[in-house]
Amino acid sequence: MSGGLDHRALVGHLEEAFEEVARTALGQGDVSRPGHLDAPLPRWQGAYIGLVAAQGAFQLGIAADVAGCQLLAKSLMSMPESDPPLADAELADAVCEIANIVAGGFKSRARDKVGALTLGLPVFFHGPAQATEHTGVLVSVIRLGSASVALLLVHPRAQG
Amino acid sequence: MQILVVDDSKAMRSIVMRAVRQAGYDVTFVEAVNGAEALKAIHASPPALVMADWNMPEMSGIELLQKLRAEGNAVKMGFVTSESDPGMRDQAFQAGALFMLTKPFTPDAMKAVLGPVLT
Repeated sequence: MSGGLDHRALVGHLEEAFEEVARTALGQGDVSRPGHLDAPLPRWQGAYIGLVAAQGAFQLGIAADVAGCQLLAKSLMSMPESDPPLADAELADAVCEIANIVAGGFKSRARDKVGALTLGLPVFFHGPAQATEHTGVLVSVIRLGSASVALLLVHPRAQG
Repeated sequence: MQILVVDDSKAMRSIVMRAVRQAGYDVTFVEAVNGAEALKAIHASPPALVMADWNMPEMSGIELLQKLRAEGNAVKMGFVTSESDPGMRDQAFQAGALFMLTKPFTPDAMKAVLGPVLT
């Protein structure tokens, strides 16, 4: 916990928000939660979006390997998984939009714990968020059909 | 009838346009990637409806709506956004928004917001 926010508790809201988006906007009925990781996986890519609360700021992320990101993006656009791969820009745009929608669902779920939250704009990234002395990364893995998707919460560590 | 779809995500613009067609409306679409681009498009050719995201670079959806109303432009406008905060809904409706459709939306939800606006 830092700055009055229980980040670990917030991961549950992130999981719920992603699962709702997976079942609705992505049309994926086969969703499960196999568990948590201690660190993000190095070869994954995805999107981060910043959130600002009165108690502090943090980032939410959605990451997967290349095939997983293609599945996410094609699902959002109602494209069959067998279609040719999306171009990098289309992939990034779609995964960023998924992060944006998930962040909106997270925001409404976390309102009672966090109060008002301001959403930033999503950015696409390659590779893991690096935990440091000042920054912690919580990772939850969701199975989405054939893909594993990492949900990340990047937060400032408690000082002192 | 022309609808202006404003969203910084190309994927989401496509999803919104598809959902409008699936709701049974035979319309043409104009696209803009943010509020500033939308404002130019509205000045050039006023659409029947503006469907805008809230959070966008350069000019947000609510800034677009406030700017339009400040210049006396009464074009119909609603939001299609991941935001569902009650305070933001109040802000949107006070500024003159006709609806606030939260992503992810269902086809029925899209029909429900468009029905009263496009008849």
